[in-house]
Amino acid sequence: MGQILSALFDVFKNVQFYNNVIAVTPPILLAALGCSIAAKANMVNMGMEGIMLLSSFIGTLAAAYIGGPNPWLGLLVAIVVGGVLGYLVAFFNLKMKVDIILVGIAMNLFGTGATAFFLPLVTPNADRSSTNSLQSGMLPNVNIPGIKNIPVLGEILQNQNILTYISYLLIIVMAFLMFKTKLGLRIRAVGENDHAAESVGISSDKIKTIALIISGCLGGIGGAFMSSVYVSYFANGIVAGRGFIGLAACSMGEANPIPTALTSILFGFFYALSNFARATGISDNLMKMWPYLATLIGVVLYSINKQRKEKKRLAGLASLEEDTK
Amino acid sequence: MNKFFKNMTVKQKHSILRMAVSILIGLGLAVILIVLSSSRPKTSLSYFFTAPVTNVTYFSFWMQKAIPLIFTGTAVCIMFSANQFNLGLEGAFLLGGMAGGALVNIYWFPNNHIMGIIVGCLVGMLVGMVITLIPALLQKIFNASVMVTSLMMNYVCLWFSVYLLFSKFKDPKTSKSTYSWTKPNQEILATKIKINGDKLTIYYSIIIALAVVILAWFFLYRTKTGFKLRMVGVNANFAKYVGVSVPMVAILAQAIGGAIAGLGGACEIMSLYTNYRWVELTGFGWDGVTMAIFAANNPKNVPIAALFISYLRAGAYVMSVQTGIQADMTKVVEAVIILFLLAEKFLSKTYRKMVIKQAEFERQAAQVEAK
Repeated sequence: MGQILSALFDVFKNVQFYNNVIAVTPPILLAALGCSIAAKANMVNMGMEGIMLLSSFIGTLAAAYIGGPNPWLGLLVAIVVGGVLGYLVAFFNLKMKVDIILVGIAMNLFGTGATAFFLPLVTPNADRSSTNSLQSGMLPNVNIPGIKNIPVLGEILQNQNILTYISYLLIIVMAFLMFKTKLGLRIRAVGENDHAAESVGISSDKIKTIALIISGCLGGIGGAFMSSVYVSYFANGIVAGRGFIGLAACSMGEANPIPTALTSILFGFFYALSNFARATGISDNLMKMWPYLATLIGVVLYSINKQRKEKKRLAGLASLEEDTK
Repeated sequence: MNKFFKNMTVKQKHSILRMAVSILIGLGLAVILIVLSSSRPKTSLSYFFTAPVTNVTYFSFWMQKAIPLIFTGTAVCIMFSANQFNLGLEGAFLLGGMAGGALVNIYWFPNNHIMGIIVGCLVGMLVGMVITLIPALLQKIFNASVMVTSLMMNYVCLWFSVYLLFSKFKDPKTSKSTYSWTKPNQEILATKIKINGDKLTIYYSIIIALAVVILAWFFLYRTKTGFKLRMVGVNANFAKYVGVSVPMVAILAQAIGGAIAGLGGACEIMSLYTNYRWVELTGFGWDGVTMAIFAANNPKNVPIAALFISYLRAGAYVMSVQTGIQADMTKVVEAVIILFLLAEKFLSKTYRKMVIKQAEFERQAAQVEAK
């Protein structure tokens, strides 16, 4: 036990570990941000997993087949695909009146099935597990000048992938979009009470559709991250539950970008810990359980806290009523 | 047959029509995908559509694919009937299979199969129940979203079982991942018979599966508790006002669902393998949701739904072995069928026309009678 603890301590002292935390968080973060904008419009984007999978797949193909290895084009295509799938989720829920969670489940089913089905058809050796034989390229790592000189954080933040930086920038963009723009206000209004929003002339279906398209686009970036930053190819089931973790992070962050981002980083922390598992002597597989277990515990702790606050609020209301009497 | 249709309401007729059209769309998509991707489309199509009924080996395969779907489908039916979106069946199935199917038979009853089956089923149910009860209780006590926690439970179960498999139950003597439990290496819930060189496998777990379906149907539609459960599903507020303890019913529904899924996992392991070998999620938990959708949350429809989907899967598997097309195509077909099946607005104009036609017909009939 002491040995494991000291090994863990060594991991926590290691700058590279924190560097890894920053590097593995973005797909979770993007999924969580995507879920949160949908959640603000009162839509559960359960299909995030499938959206990420499909956009990653199609993005990789575009990157490999159009103009040689062109990961930027892949990213763009992934975003577009994500947006289209987000629209489809909205269409089936709002126009065809299918339950939103079941649309999501169908989307995930479609994603796993379609990617696995088309994979051998588009790879040169009819490969059934990954597009390893295709050259789809990777997005570059960048050194932002000046970032190195920040004390402590500098070493952790430097030399990350460009998409990683963009992902963290998106937290601010999403916060701005939700709280400082007309669209954001409308999305929140529709999410709070769509009848009230309708009564002042906002088309709730339109706003919900826009929210889901943005959600899909973010999922698309997350998918592209998996296949052009994490690794340089698409593989079956590459998303590995990150869409679901994003959903959990969003629910813990109450769909607000900054708390959602912080929870995502927490899950990223445990992902990184499982990457560094060998150093601690704890079983690899047991460590892989941690991100999910941490999410589970996190959701529970969050709920306990919320319950307590609610009780306090109710008690406050009651005492206020007493006073007015 | 004609009488059968006459006695139905317009709504029932329409829902049958919608189901038929949805399935046709799905199958049409399957045909298109096969024709576009196969080098021998005719052979592929004939394997896809007829394989399970042309050969006893493939027929056994069809049954094998149907059994787990019946279990998880019934489990989801019960949970969805109470409107509980617990998605933790994946984990319940997996750990139920590991504990009840494999470990009981490996460590407790390596030679006594009867006891192995009985205790295995019970342990599987217990483990499955615990897995789905954790999110259910977290919801009840802390108000934590059951959907999120149950999703996480699946992955926790997966990696926990993989950890146990590789660090505790690995056979040190062979390269096999676990000890096998029987001396003659025979699956204990299945019998293999040779017929003209083809292998027919009889899975006894189908008896357990069908018993579960009947019990579940009886419970939901013929008992007081089942009625309460469905009442909570239809309108939780109403149930609360007439004095039903909604949280307790919700927990009960999830406990039963988990137990059935765990039992399914145990039966799956005992009828397919002689050791434990799952290192990824089986997907049957999600399939259960598909089954429940097809069966409209009524357990009595689950076997038909399961036989339909497993027919497609068995056909697709044979096709993939024979002509090299990915069997995962069926998932695409399933997703498309689900979407159209659930779409209330799909064919809604036809519904309106059907209603008008029926009204006209009734009016004319009334006029004739009046004369």
